[in-house]
Amino acid sequence: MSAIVDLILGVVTSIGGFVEAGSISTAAQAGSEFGFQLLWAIAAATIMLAMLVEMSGRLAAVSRRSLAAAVRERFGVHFQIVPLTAEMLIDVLLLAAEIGGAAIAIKLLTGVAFQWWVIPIGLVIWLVLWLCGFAVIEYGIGLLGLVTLAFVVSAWQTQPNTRDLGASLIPSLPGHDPARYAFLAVSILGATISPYLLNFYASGAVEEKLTEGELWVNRTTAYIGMCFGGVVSMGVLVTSAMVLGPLRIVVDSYDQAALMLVPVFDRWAVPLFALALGIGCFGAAVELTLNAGYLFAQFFGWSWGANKPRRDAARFTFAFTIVLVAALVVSLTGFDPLRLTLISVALTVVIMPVVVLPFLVLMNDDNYVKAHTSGAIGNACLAALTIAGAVMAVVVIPLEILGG
Amino acid sequence: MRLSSAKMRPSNLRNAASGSVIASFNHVAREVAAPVFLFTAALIASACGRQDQRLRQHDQKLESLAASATAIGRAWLAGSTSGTYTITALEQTYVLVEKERAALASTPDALVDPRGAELSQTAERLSRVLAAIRYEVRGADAASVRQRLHDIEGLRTER
Repeated sequence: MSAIVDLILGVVTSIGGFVEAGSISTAAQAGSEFGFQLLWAIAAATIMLAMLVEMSGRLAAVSRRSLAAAVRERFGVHFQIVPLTAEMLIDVLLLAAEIGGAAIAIKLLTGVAFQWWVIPIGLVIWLVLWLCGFAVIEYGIGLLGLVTLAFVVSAWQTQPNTRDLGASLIPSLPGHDPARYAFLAVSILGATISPYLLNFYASGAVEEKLTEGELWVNRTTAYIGMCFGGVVSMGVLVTSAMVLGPLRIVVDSYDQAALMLVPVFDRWAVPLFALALGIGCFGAAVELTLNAGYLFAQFFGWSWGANKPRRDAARFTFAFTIVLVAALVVSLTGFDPLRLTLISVALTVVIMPVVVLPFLVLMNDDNYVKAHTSGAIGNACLAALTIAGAVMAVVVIPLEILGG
Repeated sequence: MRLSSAKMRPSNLRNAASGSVIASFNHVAREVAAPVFLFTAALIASACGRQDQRLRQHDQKLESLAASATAIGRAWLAGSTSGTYTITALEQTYVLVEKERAALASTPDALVDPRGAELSQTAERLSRVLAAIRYEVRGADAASVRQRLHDIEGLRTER
């Protein structure tokens, strides 16, 4: 019975926790500029993410280790310095972007400049992490995040042509701005397959004491939850394409993006958009902060865990506090959160191979996953993702210059 | 004098040598000139192409910002959005228009081009209209806002 409840909660919170600054901004831009044409990128990224998340949960359930701890043990400290540094840098930028996104959401409702909300949001994030256990953080924020279903409702209400939607699940060449199209496709992949999610999910599985017997819960949660989450992201793209595209509005700010819900929700549109953006960004910010603590603690071998009393994990607490402060400093510079988000997701793509490659090795090492090593399909997908990640890492910066 | 003997004299030899240098230089110059010319032409063409592309991007951006201002204003007139959001969104649109104008002004080549100069003027007029709408939304002056939106439509059709 408990497993069923965990499963339902897991699926529901995966849906609620899927959308954040990166997915909203990239999907809204893609929809407004290229119609439904980039739906395939969201679909492909969602399937890849579901696969990776399932694997990281499996690794944690069988080995009782998080991804970072397993990489450190298997490849050594010297190897792990590279992915750790890269991931930490991206975490700080992404965290600053998410805090900025949450601050913009409050600005949309109050009219007060977003910089004023940066420190209060940082304080609330820290208090949530100080006071709440892992389950409250995961389920609480995930359930609140269900407000993002407003995008799916809106997409449904705008009555898009289902044949066009189906056709756009197959990649096609754009009629204009190919560099921009390619940049947005890569950004959607970067925004969806955030490397931090892998270690966060694995660490969460260790915290929640997921066992080998519950691997089916992990698999179902990952695939069903993430796929439905992807539908929310598609809802953003479709709504943007149906509402903003015909008006020839290209999304350059969250203020413009908020207009996409007006035809369906009328006077509730802006509050709903602000809530969806705010909760999505806040949830992602809490997860990123916690993950920064996990990464440091697992790298140095400190005691860690959101469920542990803070005095038993003092260095872990100190680590996530420092990362949070660093991100707040970046946010306070006043750099446009939307642009910061796009830069962060592009850089996420750059580090993807460094994170995925060790994962591929670990998932085939029976010292870690025993009899649950990846099959041919899993390995092929992971290898393809590593190669695609390497290619994207090379092209993303030129694409950002040409089409970003 | 036979040509062959003339060739044998030292002075003639020097002349012949310098002549062959000139000839070979001419040959090399002819060989090199074509690619250099083509390369220069390609550079000029790509610079013109880049300029065209840049102006087209500015044009699209301004069109998008004008469309946003219209949508924001109409939503407020229809009672779909609050004054707080409308003012915030108009301010943000104003900031983006000013960024476009600054970007245009930062490249003198763009301003020399008549299309660039026209875009810069359009951006300036759009900024002024946005500032006015923001003021009128604050004063809840729906009639004036409607008129300003009409002005923006005029700007869009002019272009």
